[in-house]
Amino acid sequence: METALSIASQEEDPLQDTAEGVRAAFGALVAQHSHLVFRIALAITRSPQDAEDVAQETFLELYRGRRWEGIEDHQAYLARVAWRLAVRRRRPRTGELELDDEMAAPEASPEQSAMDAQTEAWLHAAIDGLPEKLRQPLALAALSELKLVEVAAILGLPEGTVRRRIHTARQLLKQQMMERKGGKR
Amino acid sequence: MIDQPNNLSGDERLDRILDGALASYTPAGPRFGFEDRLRARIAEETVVVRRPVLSLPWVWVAPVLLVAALAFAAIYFHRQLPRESEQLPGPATGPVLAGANTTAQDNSHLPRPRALPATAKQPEHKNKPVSAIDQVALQEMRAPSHPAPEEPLTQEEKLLLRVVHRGDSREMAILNPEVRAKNEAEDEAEFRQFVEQSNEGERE
Repeated sequence: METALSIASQEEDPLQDTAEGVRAAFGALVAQHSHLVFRIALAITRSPQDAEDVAQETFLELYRGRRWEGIEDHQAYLARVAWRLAVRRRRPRTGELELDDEMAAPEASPEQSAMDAQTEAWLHAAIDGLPEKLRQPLALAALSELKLVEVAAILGLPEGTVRRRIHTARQLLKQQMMERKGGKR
Repeated sequence: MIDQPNNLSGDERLDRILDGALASYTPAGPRFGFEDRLRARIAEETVVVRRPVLSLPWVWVAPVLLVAALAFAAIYFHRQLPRESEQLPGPATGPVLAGANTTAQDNSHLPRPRALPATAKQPEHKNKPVSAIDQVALQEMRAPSHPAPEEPLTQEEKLLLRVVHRGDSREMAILNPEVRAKNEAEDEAEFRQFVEQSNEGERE
């Protein structure tokens, strides 16, 4: 994937004093992992603006010491850094996530098409209302790029603990859904 | 309401609804142009890192201070050298100067009086050339005083030192005037007795 970093002209490149190979490598790294880094940050901060800042900070932290050259698993490192920075930046809950029009929406899945917007918004609010120690494993595990073992590594928890928390979170949400359904009847 | 497949159980349906909600919980990647914005931040940070090196005052002040210090040192030592040469005039200036030179050489092992700093303001008469005689007088006046070398002990002092060092009670008693007078009287009497005995022996 050709990135803005890699296709930029040499004269305007702020990194022109660095080697071309280093610049290209970092550009490729950003292109490869920016989506996941942003989504991790968004899952924790629940604010697109904060998530953007966190994603930039994550890559900047990697860039500052050219650390990527000595890291084998870039995704794991970036995910962990993004989560740490996002937790630090996370603000008190103010309500439902406000979606940005410019944000690239994923293709609608069958599950999504089967759910109206009202229920979806209600469920998002219910997820936001979960305790952090349940919400974070649930939200991170929902990212398709991450396996359960990677979520456990990001959170610094045993895999079994993460699995149990996800299960608990899901049970709580389903219970709320049942109560809501029963209340509507 | 929610469209759900009819062949699924209630729990499975809830799971699928929940999966759908979770899939849209973090709905998207960054806004378009994320890499450009990151690129701008890197550029900004690079400028911020570079700017202080050139914009800090000490970068420009340090060389100026260094040059000033070197100039001060050069002027200081330039003033010191003629002053020392004045204090040590050469032998070709006459007999008096030769004596002055000898004095200066004799005193060379002694600490020299501390020179005034170059910045100190000196009276005008001190800047005038000094004659050789005055130079010697000044050097002797400025030379640090020291005690005269020790002279050798007199014979009496040496004897006294020997007696004291030995600690013999009889010799020590000599120092007592009464004992010394008594001893001298005994010696005198013994001497007279000896002389008289000698005279009687010669008569016989």
